[in-house]
Amino acid sequence: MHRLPRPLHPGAWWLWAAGLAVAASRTTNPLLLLLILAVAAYVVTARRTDAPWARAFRFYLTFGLVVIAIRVILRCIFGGDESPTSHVLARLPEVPLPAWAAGVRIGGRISVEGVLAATYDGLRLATLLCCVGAANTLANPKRALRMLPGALYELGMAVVVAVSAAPQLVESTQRVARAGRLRGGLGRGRRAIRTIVAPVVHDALDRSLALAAAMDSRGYGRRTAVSPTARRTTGALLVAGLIGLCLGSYGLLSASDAPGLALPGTAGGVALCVLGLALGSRRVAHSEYRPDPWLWPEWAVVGSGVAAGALLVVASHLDPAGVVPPVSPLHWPSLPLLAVVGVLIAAAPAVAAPPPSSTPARRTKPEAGASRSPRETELAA
Amino acid sequence: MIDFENVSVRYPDGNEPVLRDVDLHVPEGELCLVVGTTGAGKSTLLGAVNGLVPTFTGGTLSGRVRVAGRDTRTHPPRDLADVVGVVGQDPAAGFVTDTVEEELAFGMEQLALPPAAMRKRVEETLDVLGLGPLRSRALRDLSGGQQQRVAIGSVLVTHPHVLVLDEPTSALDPVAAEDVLAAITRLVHDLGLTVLVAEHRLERVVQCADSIAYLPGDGRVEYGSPAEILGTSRIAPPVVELGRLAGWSPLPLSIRDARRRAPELRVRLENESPAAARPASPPASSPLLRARGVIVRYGDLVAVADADLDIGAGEVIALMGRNGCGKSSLLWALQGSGARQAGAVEVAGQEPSRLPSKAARRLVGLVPQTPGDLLYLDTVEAECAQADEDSGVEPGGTAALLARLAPDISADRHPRDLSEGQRLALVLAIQLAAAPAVLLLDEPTRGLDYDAKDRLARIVRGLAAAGHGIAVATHDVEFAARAVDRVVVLGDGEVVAEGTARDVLAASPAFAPQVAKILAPQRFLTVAEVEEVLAGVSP
Amino acid sequence: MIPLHRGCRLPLGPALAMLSVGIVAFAHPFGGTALASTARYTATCTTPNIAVVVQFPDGRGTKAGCASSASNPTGWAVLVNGGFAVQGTIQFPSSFVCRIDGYPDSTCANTPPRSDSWAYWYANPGERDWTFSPAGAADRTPRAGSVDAWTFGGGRPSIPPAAVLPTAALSPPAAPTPTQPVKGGTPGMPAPSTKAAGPGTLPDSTGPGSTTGTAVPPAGTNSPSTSATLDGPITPASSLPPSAGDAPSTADRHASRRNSAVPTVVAAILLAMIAAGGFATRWWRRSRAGR
Repeated sequence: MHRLPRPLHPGAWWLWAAGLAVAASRTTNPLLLLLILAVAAYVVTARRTDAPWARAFRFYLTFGLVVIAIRVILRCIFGGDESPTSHVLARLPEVPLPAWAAGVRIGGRISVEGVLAATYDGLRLATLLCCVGAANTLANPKRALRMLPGALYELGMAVVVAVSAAPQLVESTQRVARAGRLRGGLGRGRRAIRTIVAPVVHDALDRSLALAAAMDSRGYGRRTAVSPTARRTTGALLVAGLIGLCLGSYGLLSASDAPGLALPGTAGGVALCVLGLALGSRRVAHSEYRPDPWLWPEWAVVGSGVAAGALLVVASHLDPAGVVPPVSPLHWPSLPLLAVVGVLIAAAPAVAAPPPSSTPARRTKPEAGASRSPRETELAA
Repeated sequence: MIDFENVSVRYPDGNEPVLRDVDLHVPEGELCLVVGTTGAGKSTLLGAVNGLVPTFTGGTLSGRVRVAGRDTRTHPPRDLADVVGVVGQDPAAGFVTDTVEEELAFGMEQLALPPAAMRKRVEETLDVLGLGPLRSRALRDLSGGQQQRVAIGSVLVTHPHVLVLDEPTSALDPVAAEDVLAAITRLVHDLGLTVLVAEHRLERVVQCADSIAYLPGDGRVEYGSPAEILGTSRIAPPVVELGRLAGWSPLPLSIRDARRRAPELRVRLENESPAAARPASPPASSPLLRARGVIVRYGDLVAVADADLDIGAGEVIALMGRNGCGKSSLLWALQGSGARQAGAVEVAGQEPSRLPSKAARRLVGLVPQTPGDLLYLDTVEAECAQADEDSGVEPGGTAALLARLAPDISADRHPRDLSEGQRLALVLAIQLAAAPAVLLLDEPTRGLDYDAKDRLARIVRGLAAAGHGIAVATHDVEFAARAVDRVVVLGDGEVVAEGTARDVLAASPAFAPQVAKILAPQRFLTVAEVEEVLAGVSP
Repeated sequence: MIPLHRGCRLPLGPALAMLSVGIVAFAHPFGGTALASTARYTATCTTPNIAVVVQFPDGRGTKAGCASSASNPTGWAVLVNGGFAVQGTIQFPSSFVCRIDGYPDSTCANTPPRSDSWAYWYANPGERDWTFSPAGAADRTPRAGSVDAWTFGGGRPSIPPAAVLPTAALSPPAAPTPTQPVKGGTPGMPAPSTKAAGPGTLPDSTGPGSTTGTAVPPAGTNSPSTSATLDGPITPASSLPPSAGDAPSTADRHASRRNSAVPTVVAAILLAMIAAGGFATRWWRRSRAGR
């Protein structure tokens, strides 16, 4: 069956990643977490496009490694373990602290159990980060922002513009740093910062003013007249809905506290938000060019993510010790079957999602110092 | 179509009104060129058309501006988006999205057009502007000319009645500028748009213009046909100046018109050769800067491929070529601050790239494309004092240099408030404070009007006379014709042609100045040369 | 005490006995919390010593233990040496006390909130009131002669430090004596010992489900042991079954898991397969794009 390449609806990718994140947050089993990481990386490899923002996944992996390293180091420094049943890895000299810092301990014995516990915890956080990174890599961030309902259109547009401006800032800084050498070096300390910051900020201000004028001239910000009460009602509903969503997601993602908060908070928050957004979207007057369709691949992708999250929640109730293995006494982690099945289901988007459309590869790089234009192939264009 | 009735604009921090009692009526379907020196109020006039002045920029506007029957007092700019399309100086700064197609659709989305109509209009606009093959390209990857055309297309999709363009070709090389102007002319002729264009380089646009709005600088606007206005205006392209000199009436506006009148002038100039005002002095002594085999690469892309260059004392060289052919990379590599993968550069027996930057700038000084990158202090005075300190010059040295280059800059102004030409002069003074023997200028004429370019040309010749060796990367042919001794043409990173200015410029179809094109095959480059010769011929 | 009415001609001795029986019979099922403050929890230890008392909620009673201070144990070690089974959380297996003697019966994956965790109090010798410890059990070394207390849910201990006194042993600790678990306290049994019991040694009940001994040790008799409950012979906690209830606790379940490396191997194979699939996909995409 030949499938036309098209980009998947960004909402589908984000929901899939959210399901995977819920699954990852329920377990500290290193085998399960590594499986989740592998599944995310596999789907990214299979379905990412060639755009520049789609190559960022390895940075998330690196960042995850950094997180694990920070956790382990902090545990080694601050988590001295004097219990007689733990296995000693090394011994750091203990730093005596004054009496008012009695709850803090620096140094002491580094135990295998402590380091393992820190690694498991760090691995869980790294996996969560990589789930978010996978969503960012697979879904064009700007198209994801276009998904926002009409009431939040301006917010989304502000974020889109900010995201577009970031590479400009980087390029501006590089240019200014290079120009600083023409004046005999950047100087030291505060002067160096000023030499770079002042022109870059001026540049950014000028560009943002120019962009604002351009957007204004093109009609951005038109809206139909709406009464102040309607606006206030919309705002109040949205704020209440967001608070409900916060509480609900806290209950959902933290496995132990406040189990009663999860469902009512989420449901109530979603309902209020939907109401507020529906009310607020009536006033915005803009249409969408070639909106992303929602077809069966989107359902399949979302379903696989939700299934992964749900199966892991169920597994954490059925087999808590397998999904959250204890660290002492030391033993090999087990592999609960239901959880593994759930994680592997989340790899379905690698085949269910349509193949990515390829953009023509960039063959030239902008020439430094020129007007940001590469060697043109205008004769061919 | 565009009606200004007794319009005056005054900004809060200015004493004088920028526009004073302006009465302007531009009929439908006309291409009107807005002409004036820097600071005369061109941007204000253009901004007032769609209401950006005073809604966006601040200030007070008295009088009435009406576009297609809508008054800008009651219609903010976003309500005029379907009537007026505005393209700013830097098209890339106005891009909101990532790809060409989305950028074209953005304007229509804001006007809430139905999706089917949007698809149709996007296709039409791609066809009209010749952007079809570029539809899914990323905007950052496009060349300057392509970006300019996309910017025009993005305001064209809403089918406006009026198009306002602020210096559309200032950053483009001659070939790309031709493309953009051809597209604009086609819009005027085929679609009947009313177009208002502000441009410094009149020689490119004046032949397409139906009328000219001239701002002398005192707040008035003189409006009339090109021949009328240019007959008496202070700023005029070389073809008009030549016409005035030769006494042609009505004044020719295009090369073609001028060539039709030229035969009798050519007869007068028959056996005269242009005075060797600039003796093509071979660098008798060893050159100040000698570069051999310079290679500059960025990853896979080769920007400069094996280039050789010599700059002698008292000599001005122009590096010319299309945008992106490697001129800037070569200059940065010569200065020592830019990447250089291979080759040798020698100045006074030393390699600038091996020296620390303080020492390198005493050998070779470079003024980059955006001079504002070097300025970071709050006043002109502070910048000069800092430059004194950086260069080890006694206090006041840089300020004296600046006073010679640009006497009209007051010391307490913020560098960002200066005009393009003044900022260029300030950075030039800062770089000259280190007294380098070799001076490199990267695209100095961008955004300069004729007066400022004149002044720059005089400065450059003065520095050359003082013994500096100067290289200028530019694609402004008129400036090169006036200021330069030798021309090196780069193509694809390699040196394609090299020779005296007269040899290279007069013969090349792309780089010939207007006077050369008119008086071909005689090799005159500027009106001043013709004037000299005529003064010598007729007693 | 019951005031004697003049002119009342009841026989004193049997009357007092029946009264005491009645009081015990009625007081026992209710746990006698009002009387708890005057009870004394004796824990005999060798000197120098640190006493620890753990108050279980939900009517599970209070247990006391004792540890020698000779090796400068931390509060955690005092708990362990005092005969309690202690588990930490999975994140912090030896610094955050999650389960004591199997209570509460949760997986202890994350640090529980304040309402669900053990609070650590201490009283130095001679102090009359408990101090909430600023440091955790693993970070603090109690002084010789001090008393540690653990309550669940963050409340203060309901007994004063004076009620838990480590007393010097008159004889070295003998071998632990096994106890018959008796459900509830049988009020009838200890009648003679009740009589012999002096003031201040009224028994406290541990409620149903306790598997500790029942008889109140007569005051002054020191059964050699390292832990004491209130109404039973002092038994070392180590001989007690580790769980407070009959059902095996979570700790038991964990401890009895098979320790096999097979799941790790299976997981490694799965990971290798996914990685191979990923590389193959990347190669295939690259070759199709023709780069």
